[in-house]
Amino acid sequence: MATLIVDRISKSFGKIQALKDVSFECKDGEFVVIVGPSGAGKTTTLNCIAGVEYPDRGTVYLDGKDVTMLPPQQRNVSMVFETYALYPQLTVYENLAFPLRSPRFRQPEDEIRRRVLKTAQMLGIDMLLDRLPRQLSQGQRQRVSLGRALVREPLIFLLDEPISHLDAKLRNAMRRELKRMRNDLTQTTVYVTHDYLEALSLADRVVVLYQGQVLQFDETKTVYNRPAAVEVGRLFGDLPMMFFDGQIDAQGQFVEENKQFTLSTEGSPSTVIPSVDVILGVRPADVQLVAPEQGNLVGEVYSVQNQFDQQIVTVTAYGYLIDAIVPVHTRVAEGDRVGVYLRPEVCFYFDRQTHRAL
Amino acid sequence: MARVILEDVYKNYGAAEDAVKGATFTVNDGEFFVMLGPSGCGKTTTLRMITGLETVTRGKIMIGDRVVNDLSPQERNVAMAFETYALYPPLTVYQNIAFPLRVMKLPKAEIHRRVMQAAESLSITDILDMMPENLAGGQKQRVSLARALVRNPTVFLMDEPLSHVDADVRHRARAEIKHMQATTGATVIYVTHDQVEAVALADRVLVMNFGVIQQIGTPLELYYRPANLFVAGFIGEPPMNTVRCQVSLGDGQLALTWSGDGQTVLRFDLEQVDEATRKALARHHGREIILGVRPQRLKIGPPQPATARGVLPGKLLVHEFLGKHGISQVQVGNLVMEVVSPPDIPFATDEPVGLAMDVGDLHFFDAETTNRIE
Repeated sequence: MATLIVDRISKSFGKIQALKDVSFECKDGEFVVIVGPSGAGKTTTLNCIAGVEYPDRGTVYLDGKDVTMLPPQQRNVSMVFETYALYPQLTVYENLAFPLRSPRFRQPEDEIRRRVLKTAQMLGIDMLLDRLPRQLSQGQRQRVSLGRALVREPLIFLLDEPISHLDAKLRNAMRRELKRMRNDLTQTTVYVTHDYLEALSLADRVVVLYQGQVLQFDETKTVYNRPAAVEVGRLFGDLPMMFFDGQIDAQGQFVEENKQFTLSTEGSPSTVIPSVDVILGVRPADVQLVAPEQGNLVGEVYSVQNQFDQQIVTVTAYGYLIDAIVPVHTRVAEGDRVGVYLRPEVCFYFDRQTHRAL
Repeated sequence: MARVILEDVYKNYGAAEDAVKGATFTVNDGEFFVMLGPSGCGKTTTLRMITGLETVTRGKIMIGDRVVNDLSPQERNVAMAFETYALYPPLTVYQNIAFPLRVMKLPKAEIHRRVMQAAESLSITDILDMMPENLAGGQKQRVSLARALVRNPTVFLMDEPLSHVDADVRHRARAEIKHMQATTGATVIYVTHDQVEAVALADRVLVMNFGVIQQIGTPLELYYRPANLFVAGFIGEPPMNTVRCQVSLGDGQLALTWSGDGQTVLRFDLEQVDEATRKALARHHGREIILGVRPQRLKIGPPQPATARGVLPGKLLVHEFLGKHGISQVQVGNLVMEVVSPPDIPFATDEPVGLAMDVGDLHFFDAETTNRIE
């Protein structure tokens, strides 16, 4: 059993507050992803769980035990910074056994063998034990690397941006490999990344961290479908969510701040009340291009980018640049006059002051 | 603006292998032409030869009507926008853009006119008085482009200009470049290793590998009719699924049997296969070929009987929910195939599924040469 509770941890480095009341938890065997832009405090949070840093305030509980001030070696957590970094002259077996041979662990040989085989089987690499790293595929090497962290049978598995340094194509492939492995990993895991795709793909629950604060902690789909704050909406999207300042008028309609367009709010997932300053958020994939008379906004096509199964059309309207993802057969060219239609169902509203969802 | 023609161009740095081998192609006037390939493939070397920063070992380069092999970059009147913006720190944005024109000793009124025109096409008229150190990355990029644009160059040459732009705003930076090119009608030759970028921007793409041109065509041509296995795998994300299989035509059927396990068979009724494909495959009857099918063209559904046409039996290994779409991995015989699917699918891990496809979506490549079979 390995549960993790992070309870209101705060940490400052001099004048900079890196973490402010960060709280979340992991159930036994759960895979939680902490996602946020660089500088959000993700690594600091992970370091506090590992014992590499100590928070100024707050508590870390591992399996119900307060470990906040315990050094790393007394916590039985295992941290992986980046994949690979395998010893090239050692076989897969020896690479996996290596951590168990360290002076601190001193395990008898048959115990080492048992643990190595168990970990190798779990990761599907038990038939590769005699190979050298150079004889392995990327995916296999990654499994060995993860295996090396798992072989100590830690309570909690911590991964700090393990695939961020790879180019896009390889990163996508490795993410899928991790997803496959994830089904076999029974360890409670905390995984840190700035890439929302990794959160969507791998997480049971997501912690969205921004400037040291938890903006949302929820199941993955809920974070995607009901972003709790502007920054969450902005983070979760292939093309980022677009935002417009405005107000809700007495009739409950959204009026853009310069009164250039209005939208009905009936059917929106958010609950709005009149006379409130708001921010409207909408995803490019939900924007529809229509005939000028049928749109909420009228603009001109600024550019068209081909993507085989869709097109990214950027429209300039009232001083805004609006991205729309449209089907590939839509005929549209730079300079065309178009209408932009935003269905209420895809419009999210956030409080202008707090940036929180309404 | 002008046409650019390369005829049988070679570059050798004194090594055994040529860095660029027999490059022959034409970039049309006003075209957005992208050179795409993995790092080290020769695309940057080719661009540098067009620019005049590298000498040509053999062959001819023409810009407009002139053979430019022996001309300096300035004499070629080409404009470069490379990775580093290299703005002059003590000059304002306006002065930065005006600089090349002052070097050319143009009259003041003409300089002002050109600077304002370039600033308008790149929407930077509001920052003309600012200093480079106070600009955001995207703004610096636009100033750099404006500075290249003012010289009314014959050709605009760009080498991975967006690699330092944050991934989440890269589509906006591409929109700017695309807009600039569309409104000015500039001839642009753009180098990138990113196939998403190439496809987003290009009128035509040239794909290169190991110094050799693999294919030149519109993005759609490269996607739907890749000339060889390399192009097929390089364009499109996730990459095309490929598998070696035995071809058999007979009994009114086309059967493709996995070489890896000798068991998995993909069947189609011959009457569903168009004549050209039938003829091409008939030449390989009884032999091995490489079959390719894109993840976007596969549909996951319930398992079908073994005799079903156009369906492969598989086991769902993993499904990724990615917001507006999903990616699944399915074990088919000894091969793992990737499928672009809806965000949620009604199947659980390890459940048997059927992968359906149209015969028209299949690609066939020669097992030895890896060239397209047609």
